Amino acid sequence: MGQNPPALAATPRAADLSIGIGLRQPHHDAWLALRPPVDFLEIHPENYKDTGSAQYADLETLRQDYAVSVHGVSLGLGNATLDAQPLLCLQELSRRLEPLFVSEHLCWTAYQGRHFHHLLPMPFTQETHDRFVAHIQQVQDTLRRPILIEPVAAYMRHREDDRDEVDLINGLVAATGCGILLDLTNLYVNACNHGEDAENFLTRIDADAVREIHLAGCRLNRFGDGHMWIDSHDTVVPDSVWSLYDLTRARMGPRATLLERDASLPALQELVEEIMPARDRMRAETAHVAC
Amino acid sequence: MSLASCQEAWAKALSEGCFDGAESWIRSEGLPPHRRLWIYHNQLRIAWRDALEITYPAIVSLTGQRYFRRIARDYGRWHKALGGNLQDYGVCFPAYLAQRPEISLYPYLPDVARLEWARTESVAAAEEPGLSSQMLAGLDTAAWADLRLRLTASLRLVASAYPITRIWAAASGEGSHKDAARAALRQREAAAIIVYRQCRSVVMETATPPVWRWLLALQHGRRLPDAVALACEAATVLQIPFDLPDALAFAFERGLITAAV
Repeated sequence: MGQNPPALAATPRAADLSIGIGLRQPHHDAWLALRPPVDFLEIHPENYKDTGSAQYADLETLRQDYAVSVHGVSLGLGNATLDAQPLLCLQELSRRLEPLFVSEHLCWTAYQGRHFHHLLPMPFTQETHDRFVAHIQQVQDTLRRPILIEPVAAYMRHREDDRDEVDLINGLVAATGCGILLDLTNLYVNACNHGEDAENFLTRIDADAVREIHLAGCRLNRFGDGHMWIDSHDTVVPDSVWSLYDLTRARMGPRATLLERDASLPALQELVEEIMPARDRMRAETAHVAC
Repeated sequence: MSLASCQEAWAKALSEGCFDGAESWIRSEGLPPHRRLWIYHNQLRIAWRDALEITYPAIVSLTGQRYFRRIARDYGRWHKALGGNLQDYGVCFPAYLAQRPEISLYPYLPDVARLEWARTESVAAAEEPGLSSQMLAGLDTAAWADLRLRLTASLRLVASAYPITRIWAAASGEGSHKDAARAALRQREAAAIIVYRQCRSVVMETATPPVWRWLLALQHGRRLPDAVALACEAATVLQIPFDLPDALAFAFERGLITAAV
C-alpha cells in the first residue's frame, strides 16, 4: 500500500453543522436561480465525468456558493477488482472540486466485467473485510484523502455472516482510517427487514468516524407471503427516520446532514423545506450548548 | 464458500433470472430466499427499463409502452453493461433492435433509436466555443493542404434510408404517434442528419449528403482536401452539388468548427 492519506480528523468539524441536498440534473436550473439556503450539495460522480459538459459547468458555478460532496454509486468496493476508469474519474473530480467528502457504498456492483447498476449486499465475513480494506486503501491512496463508507439497505442477509454489520464497519474504519456515511434510512430499512436493533447499531458504531448522515424516503412493499421495506428515495423522509436522526445526534452530536431524493422529484423548494428541520434541530442544540 | 462463488451465483440470478444457485447463500427468515432475490431482480429490471424509457421516448411511443417493456426485458438479458454508469446502459439498444426479427417489419425503428442515442450523447458532450470564419482568412494558402478542422464534441452524424427526423417528431408530438409516423414514412425520403447542441438545446438538422459526408470525414480526422474529395464523390454519385465555401459557411454559422490544426 502507499502512504497513508491525511487523517480523517483533518476534515474541519465545522462541517458537522452543515445541511445539504443531492444535486440532480432536473434541478440544475432551479439551483442556479434560487440558490437555496443550504451549505452543501452532493453529486454522483458518474453524472459529472465529462468536465467539459454543460452539467459540469453548472456544478462549477454552484461550487462558488456551496461546498460539494462526491457520492459514488458504481465503484463497487466489494467487486473482485476496481475498474481503473471510474477511479481515475473520481480522482480528477476530487482534484478539481476539493470536495467536503468523498463517499462510496459498501457493496458490490459488477461481476467479471458485467455491471448490475445496483448496490448489492456483501456477506459480513473476513474475506469481505479483507477485500473492502484493500479497495478502500486503493481509493484513498489514489485520492490521497480519506473516504467515507456507506452501509447499504439490504433485502437479505447472508448465511455466511460471521459478524454483524457494525463489527464489519468498525473493523474497516480501524484498518483504513476511513470515515462513515451513515444513511439512517438504510439503517431503518435494515432494522425493519431483518429484525435488527437500530439503537444498538447507533450505540456501537464508531461515532467519531461518522462524518455525514443521509436521510431519504422509503416504502413498504407488501407481497402475498410477506413484506419488505424498500429504500426507494422517491418520497418524503418518514417520521421514524427523523426519530432515528434525533437518536443519532443525541448519541454523537450534530453531523453534516443530506437529503437524498432520486425519483419522483418534487420542486427544489419542497426539498429545501424538507431538510430545514435538520438545521432547526442543530441550531437549537448548538444554542443550548452555548448557554 | 468464497465471495467469488457467491457473486457468480448472484450474477446468474440477476442476469438470467435463475435463482437456484444464489438461494443457498441467503438466510431464510420471514420472506423465503427466492422472494428476496426476486426483489433485487425486479428492482434491477425496473432501473434498466426506466433508463431505456428515458433515453428512447420516441421508440416507446412508436412501439407502445407494453411492447417496449418486453423489448427492454429481453435487452436486459442480452446486453452486458460494461460500465457502472446507468446513463450509458442504452448504448447498444439500437443495434439490439436491429437484430430482432420482428423489427424487420419496421426497419426505420433502429435508425430512430440511433437518432435518440445521438441526442443523448450530444446533451452530455463537452461545451466548446465555435471558431469564427475569420480564422480562415489569416491562413497561409499553403497551409490548406494539411489543414484539419476539429468539430464540436456535441456533433453526431446520423444517416438513414428513412425520414427519421420526421418520424421522431411525429412520435414526440401529441396525438396518434403511430399514424403520424406512418404519414412521415410515406414521404420516403432518406435523411442525412446532423445533431448538435446550441445554447444547451439539442438541434437536429438535415444536411445535404455531400455536406454530411464532408463533416463525417472531418470528424474522423481527415485533412480538409481529403474530406472535400469524399464529399465530391458523394456529390457525383447523387448528382448534387458540393460547394466548399457554402459548406464552410454552414459549419461556421452553427459553431460546428472548434479548431483548425
